[in-house]
Amino acid sequence: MGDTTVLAVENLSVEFRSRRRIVRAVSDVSFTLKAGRTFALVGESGSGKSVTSLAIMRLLAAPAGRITGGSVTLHAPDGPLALTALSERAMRAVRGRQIAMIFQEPMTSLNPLFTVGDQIAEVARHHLGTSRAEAFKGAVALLDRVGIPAAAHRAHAYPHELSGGMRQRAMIAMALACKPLVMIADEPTTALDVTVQAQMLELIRELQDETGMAVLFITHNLGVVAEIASEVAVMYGGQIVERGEAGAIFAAPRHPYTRGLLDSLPPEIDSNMPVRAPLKAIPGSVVDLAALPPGCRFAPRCAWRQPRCETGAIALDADPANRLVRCVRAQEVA
Amino acid sequence: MIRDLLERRKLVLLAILLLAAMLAASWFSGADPQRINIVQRLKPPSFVNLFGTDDFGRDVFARVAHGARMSLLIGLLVTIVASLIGAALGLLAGFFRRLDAALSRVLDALMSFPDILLAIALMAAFGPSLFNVVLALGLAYSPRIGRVVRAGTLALRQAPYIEAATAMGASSLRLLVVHVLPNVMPLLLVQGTFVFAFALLTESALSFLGTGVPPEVPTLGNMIASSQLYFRSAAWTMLFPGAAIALAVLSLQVIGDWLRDTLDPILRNVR
Amino acid sequence: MTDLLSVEGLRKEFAIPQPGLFGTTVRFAAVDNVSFTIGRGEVLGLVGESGSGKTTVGRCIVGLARPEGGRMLFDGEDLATLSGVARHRVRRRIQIVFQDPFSSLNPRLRVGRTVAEPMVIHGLCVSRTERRERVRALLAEVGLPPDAEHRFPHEFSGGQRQRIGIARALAAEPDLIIADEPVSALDVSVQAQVLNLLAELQARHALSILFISHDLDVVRHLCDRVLVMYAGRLVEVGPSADLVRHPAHPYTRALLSAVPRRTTKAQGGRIVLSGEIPSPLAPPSGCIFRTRCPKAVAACAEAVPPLAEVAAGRLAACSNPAALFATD
Repeated sequence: MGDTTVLAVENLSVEFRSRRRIVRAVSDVSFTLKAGRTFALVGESGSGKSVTSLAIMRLLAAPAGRITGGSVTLHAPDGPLALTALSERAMRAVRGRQIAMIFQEPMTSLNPLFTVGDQIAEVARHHLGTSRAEAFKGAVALLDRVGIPAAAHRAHAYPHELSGGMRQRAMIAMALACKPLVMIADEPTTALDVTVQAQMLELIRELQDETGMAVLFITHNLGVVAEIASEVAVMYGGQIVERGEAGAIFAAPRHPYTRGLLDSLPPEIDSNMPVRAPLKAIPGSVVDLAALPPGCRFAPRCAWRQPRCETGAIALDADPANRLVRCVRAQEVA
Repeated sequence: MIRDLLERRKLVLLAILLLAAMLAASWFSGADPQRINIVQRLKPPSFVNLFGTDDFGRDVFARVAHGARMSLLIGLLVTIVASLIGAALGLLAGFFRRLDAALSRVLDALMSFPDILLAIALMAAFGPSLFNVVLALGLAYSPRIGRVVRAGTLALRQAPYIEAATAMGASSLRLLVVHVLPNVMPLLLVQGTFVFAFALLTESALSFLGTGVPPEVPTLGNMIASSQLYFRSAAWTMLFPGAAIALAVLSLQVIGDWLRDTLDPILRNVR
Repeated sequence: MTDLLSVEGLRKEFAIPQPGLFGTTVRFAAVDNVSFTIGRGEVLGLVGESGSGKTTVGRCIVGLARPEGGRMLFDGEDLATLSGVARHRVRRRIQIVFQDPFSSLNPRLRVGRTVAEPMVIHGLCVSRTERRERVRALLAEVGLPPDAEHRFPHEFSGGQRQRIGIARALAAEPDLIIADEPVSALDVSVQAQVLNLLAELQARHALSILFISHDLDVVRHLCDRVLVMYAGRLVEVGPSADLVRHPAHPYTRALLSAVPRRTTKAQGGRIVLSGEIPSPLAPPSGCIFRTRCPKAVAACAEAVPPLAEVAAGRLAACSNPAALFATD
């Protein structure tokens, strides 16, 4: 099962245009999601990670944001579907049915005027045509499955009556309602406390084992990536700068940005580093997507920079261990 | 959407031009708005009298031009008075919790009278004069400013930069003047534009009812009031001042809407 | 040398109006009987999850919240009873740096004005030229370009804005800085810059810092000692390196085990807590943590366990001696 490709993103590019400027939010991004596996997109604000997920769902704010190149293919059981070429009507049947999405702040994605049970039931009724009573029963079972105590009772609660952790669970239950092939999780634990985050990661892992769905996990937290993902793509300035097996990347980053990011973090809690030892900070701030440098997008902040980095675009090259790195000095960085 | 915006900016520009033209027209109208010429009374529009003449044979174009200037001036003065009273009450009510209940009730009480009734009552008490109209309407419209400023102040009081200044030890006066007021100014400006438009309408209505500016002062409202008797046979005497009021109010609304959308920090961040 | 700040039995209550026309307001304690000290030049961490009351403690100290009980002795003077001139004088010595670098700066003041505000308020650097000199020196000290003083906050990135906030706090020449999650809203690659800056300034000016955070990695890195709060109460206190390696209280252990790790695995595996923080309106009897504690015994329900010394330099509030320092 592990090697069945469920979703393939190829050379995806996204632009946002306004009167004054063009923001190249995503440039030439490729990756595949496999059944039963978790793929993580890591990056800071403006790295393009969230825009990538919105582009997959075709939820970019039109007409400012649009896909300018590449394709997204969903390998559904009844044949491949080119999502980038689907009509809006056909796409609506995919959203929530085959690809479900959960967000950072569940309060904004749950409707405050309906009970959580009704909202979950509504998804199943809409996509699968389940009867009202049947769907509500299913909703209660889902709420129970995601670990909400007294689910039959809580199904009648409104979103504001639940705590942050409970709301996030309810949203996961809603995402699972149609047994999707893919679940996109956009910073699902960022607003949560660490103890609740741990519960949530545990839950997503369990559900994945049960259902065999592929998970696209979007986060800025490298610790969370290490915990949940088998494969990871590090994004910077709208591009993937390094992609490969998660453990290997954390053990030996090859791109200066990945390396710099890992080195700049405060040491892990059980380290022996003395208090307030200076951290190896990356100088400067995140690149402006409306004013991208001509060469490598990380070059202005890079300690390994060479003259050739500032002139031409750098390719994402594979090394023998099947790691993709967008750097001319990848071998030296490691 | 880009095209919409451009269109809208053109509309705003047009509105500003129109208001400027109304203010400036009195200097170019040539004719004396007060010159009576009974022989020429109630003449329809012609090349000599662009908007025709009224029942005293006075040039309607000159009267509309002067009336518009006077009405706009009154509207502006009313807006300033309403803003001063409203902003003071709103800032105090929004900032000091203890004053809020009392001041808010005062604002609510003023709000609960229809503004025209309130203005008529005040005018009846003070007697008709330009100064009293401005004061009465200013008072009548102050809650519209006051409520908005209060709401803005309430929201701002929680803002981290206000808390930062509080924690620094800034006095209440300093907090209000340096940190709160400049940040509620956009709200004030937007609401002020709408009050301007309402004031223009209400002033006309008051004059029409005979409780506003003394009839010898040429305002648009007074002109409509004096044309009541003739407008069936000489429609231009009412049509042109009426159109001037409508255009002025419309222009102000357009400008106000535009200001609201450009100055609102929340909307601006979304863009 | 005495402590710079000594907090004793701090209690802060909040009132929640119940919905409906006839609802009464219900009061609950967001901070209950919290005592600790901050030494001169010490960086003290305050960790806890949302609802733990950690931010409220900071707000009480800077005067943004008025506590219902307890004392806060700052250099021997009780902050709660001071008024007028004395209060204003002490205010200058305690400054705060906020979490959100976007909303904590007045958008309509130029950066130079913002940084000069504390000087104006407290009558430091009276002459205008002197003040400008000082503003420039401060901006340089926090690593901002010289032309920053003429620009508006929105022209800066998150990290730079946080530097402006730090410069503003320093302008008052404080002895104590309350730093409320100062790096958690920043991009990962920028956090390290700001943490280094804070460490540098702390050493140069011998500042005391109360560092409030939910990020245990950051707290371990920056702080000499750590306070752990849970549901409004202090559950553990100790030197940061020691506490993190050998947590005494069962809650601290669960918290530490939940921190996601990049390379290592938590000792003794992950302790996943069931349930949620109890409602502050109906707290359980005795120990506030007992309803979720894997080590709870009958004694836990009887009395609120006091914060007591459990090892050299280590304090914990736990009724079950067998639970302390347990390693499973």
